[in-house]
Amino acid sequence: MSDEYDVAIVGAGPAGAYTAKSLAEKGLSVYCIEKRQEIGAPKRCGEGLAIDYFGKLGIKPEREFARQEIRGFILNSPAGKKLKFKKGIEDYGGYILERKAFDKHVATLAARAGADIRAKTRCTGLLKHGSRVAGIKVESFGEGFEVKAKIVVGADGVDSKVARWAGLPSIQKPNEYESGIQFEMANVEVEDPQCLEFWTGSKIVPKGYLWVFPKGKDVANVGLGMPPGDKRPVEYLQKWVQGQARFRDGSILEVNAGGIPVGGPLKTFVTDNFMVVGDAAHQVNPLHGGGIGIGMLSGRILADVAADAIKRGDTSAKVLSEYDRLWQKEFGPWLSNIARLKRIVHRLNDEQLDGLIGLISPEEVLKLSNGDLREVGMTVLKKAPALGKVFISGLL
Amino acid sequence: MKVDKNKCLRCSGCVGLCPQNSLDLLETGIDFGPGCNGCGLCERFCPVGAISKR
Repeated sequence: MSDEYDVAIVGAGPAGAYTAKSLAEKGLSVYCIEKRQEIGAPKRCGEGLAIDYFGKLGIKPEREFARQEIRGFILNSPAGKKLKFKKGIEDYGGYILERKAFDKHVATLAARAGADIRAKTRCTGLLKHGSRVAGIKVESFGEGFEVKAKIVVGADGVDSKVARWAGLPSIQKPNEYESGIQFEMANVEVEDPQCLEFWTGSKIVPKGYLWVFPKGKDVANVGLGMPPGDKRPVEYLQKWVQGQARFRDGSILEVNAGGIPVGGPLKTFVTDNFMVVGDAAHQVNPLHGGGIGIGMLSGRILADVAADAIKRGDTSAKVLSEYDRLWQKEFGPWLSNIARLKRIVHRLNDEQLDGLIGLISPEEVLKLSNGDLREVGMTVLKKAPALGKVFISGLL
Repeated sequence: MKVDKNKCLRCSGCVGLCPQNSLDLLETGIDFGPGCNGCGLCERFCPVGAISKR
């Protein structure tokens, strides 16, 4: 361990650790800290990761951290209509992870690449030279010390302190932030262990959705995400679980919770000598709340820009803002369309949602999740003009 | 504001929301800090209702 590094990263979740790995592979010295005593736990996550991320990230799924292969989904409308899709894993799918093992795996890859990772080490403030970030103040086992760095990276989650200290508007806005609550359950029955279940409806989960993500034949993450409502999210979850014979008598192995940023990414991810990534940067899918894959790929973009800036000897915001531009190019249009889709879906009442799920095909659902809204909108307009009008108006 | 430690899941969701940047999750649990002005956004957010006004 040193008291000076090229890059100091606060947070060793998937985004922070993958950023550390990417930087270390370029030969930079990297210090990456995690305030919790354990990387990867407790989880605040449904643990789903789509298959194409594994390829793009260069991570082979292994039994140890990729618990359950997923090949399809089952959408349940408010009235109980089912829309099922299932194919070979290359066509659609992914894995439900074990975050305890996955997060440590990514941190291990980073460590092997040369990064210094430290658990039970908390960032207590930013080191500054005048107004410019110059490193981090750290505390570990009661001892305080300082670590200088050319660039500091905030990867400390939805509750990021570091991003705020650097002056980024990262505080979560109440109308762009959902509450998540989940039970990991055992001895329950899932509809299909290779299919994700999605449940909707104002009586089940107003303005949000409930998920069943199988982790095995009879084990599943059962959770929901929603904006604050009349009742607490945990009450909606308990009511639904009690109402399902296949879950009512199951056991609860874990209770997880968390906040989910759904308002889209920060307008900029950088200031002088400082960058953010992952949940701290609000780099999350606004519709389904997933952010593992986006966070990790963003970390690689960050690493490319940071390494270049350090090589050039200029880590000012102007140079680092190339990260913003590259990120926009990679994710901007897709996530903007997803945000549009979310606004459309939120305008629909239960009856209209029944109608929509009743008339679109599984392939059209996949198109929507890729951000291809226009074509599906036109089909809906043809089949159900009133519903289609609501849809199309949301595209303008 | 105050937190019921029997309910709190230490998810830090509330910390992300505090407009005063006064909330933090320490090893001892959720801490409201001196900047808390009782706006109640944290109470509204909490998935299990662990937070309430003093």
